Parts: sequence; structure tokens; C-alpha cells
Amino acid sequence: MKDHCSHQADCLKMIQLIVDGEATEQQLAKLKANLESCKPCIEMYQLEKEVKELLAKRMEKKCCPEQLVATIKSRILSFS
Amino acid sequence: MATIPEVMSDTPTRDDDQLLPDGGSNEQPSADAPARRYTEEQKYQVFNKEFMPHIDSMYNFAFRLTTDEDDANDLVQDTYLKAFRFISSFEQGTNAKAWLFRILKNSFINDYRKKSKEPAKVDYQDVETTYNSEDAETEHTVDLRAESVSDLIGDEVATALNSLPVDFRTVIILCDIEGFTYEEMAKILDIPIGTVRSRLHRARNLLKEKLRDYASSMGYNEENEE
Repeated sequence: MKDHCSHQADCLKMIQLIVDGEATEQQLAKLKANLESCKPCIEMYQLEKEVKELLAKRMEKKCCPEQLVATIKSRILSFS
Repeated sequence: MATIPEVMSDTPTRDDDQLLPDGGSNEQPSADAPARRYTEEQKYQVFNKEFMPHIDSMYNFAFRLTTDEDDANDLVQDTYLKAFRFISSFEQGTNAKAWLFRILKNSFINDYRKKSKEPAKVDYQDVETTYNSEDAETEHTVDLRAESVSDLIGDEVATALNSLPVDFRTVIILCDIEGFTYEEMAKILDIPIGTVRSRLHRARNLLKEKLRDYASSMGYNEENEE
């Protein structure tokens, strides 16, 4: 297991592509290899996933107020 | 219109900006716009079936951009009225959500950014310059661990996100909260995919710095975790 990664910034970019579902097969394979052998890459991968999950799941989703839905519907009816 | 890629031809590229319902100044789509002839009844059908289901996401996006409920209300209403007015340039069955988000984003830039109640916390140019430097591109990683942020609550994440310059905040919202692909984001934001990628990368580094400050101020630092 490597404790130091000499191309950490490039690995981080690749990790983000993978976490975002934008990576190629080749990049996926490379990451898989890194995740078995490189400690900094494992930690970066876990952090990126955690932060993405925080944003997706833990932040409140604001819903559109009913009143606004009603206003929009009545405004477009008066258009034609 | 040969420059429009086949995917998402409904969310035009910057080449045909003049045809778009984003400036509010062009009431008539030009002759070569992909104008549909919807009957009045079809217009309401498309509006209700394709546009209204996205209203919660649109409101959430507007709120995250403006950080103000009244501004979010106005922005969403303006966007939906524009969308109805320009409904003939929307092709049924294509990506309505991306089309709507693009209008909202442009309305925000044109109409709201200047009068936003949010003070400019960070000068965007400064940040862009800093993060565009060679060092930032090749060396910048944030010293933070997954365990250190796992206990943060939604409000703290929101505060960290809100403290980012709006262009950085926007890519994070689109990607991580709304789940758009890079390609969709490129169309919504009128920037190349490479710029989407690098802006996201910088936005996340900034966000992680903010989260790190939060985490360490609350005592969730590495020493406590291990």
C-alpha cells in the first residue's frame, strides 16, 4: 500500500469524474487499481463521495410554495 | 443551425443565443428557429406536462442562487412566464428540465445578480485568477478527511456552499444537487465541457476548504477521529 501519491492532483480529477459518473472504462479500471494500492487515492475517493452525498442528501430541498404555482398557472391563462 | 449538436437540440448553444428566451428582448423567434406550431390547447398541455413537474427543482435552484425566498419566487415566476411565451422553441420530448434551468440561469444573470441582496463576499475575478494559476491546477488538494465532514448538518453545508462565488456555487448545485451531466451543464451554462470540469474541480476545492474550516472549528479534526 502506497502512503504517498506523486500525482495526487491528477488522481483527484479522475476521482471526481468517476464520482460524477463521467469516467471512461479506462479511467474506471485505473481507479480500481489505485484503490487497491494507494492510500491517498482511497482517502480522496472517500472524501469526494462523502461531500457529494452531503450536498445531495443533507441539504434541505426547498419546495415551490403552492401560492406561486397558482399564480403562475393563472398568469399563463391570461396570456392568450 | 448546423452547429447544434444532435443531443439536446432544445437547449441551444451560444451560437444561437439570439433565438433564445433568455434575454427577454427578442419576442419573436427568428425564421430558422425550430418553431413548433402548437395550438393554444397544446401549449397548455406542454406547459403542464413538461414544465410544471420541474417547479420544485427550479425553485430550489433559484433559492440556492439568490439565497432569498422572495427573489426565488420572482425568479421562478419570471422563468415560467418566459418559458410559456417562448414555448414554440421547445421541442416536446426533449430535455425540458435543462431547457428551463438555462432560462432561469440567464434570467438570474441578466436581472437578479445586480440587485441581489447577497453581498459580494468574494471577488470572483480574484478567485478565478488564483485558481487558474498553474499551482492550483496541478498541486491543489485540500487536507480533509471524509470522517471529518460526515457529521456536518445540512445548514452547515448550505452555509459553506453559499459562501462560494456564484459561478462556483452554480456548478455544484447543477452537478451534485440536481444531477445534471457535464454535457447538460455545458449547455445550461454556455461553456465548454472542459470548463465545466475545471470549474467544478475548483469549486469543490473551495467548498472543501470551507468545510474543513467548519469541521475544525467544531472539533471534528483528525486527532479526534482516530
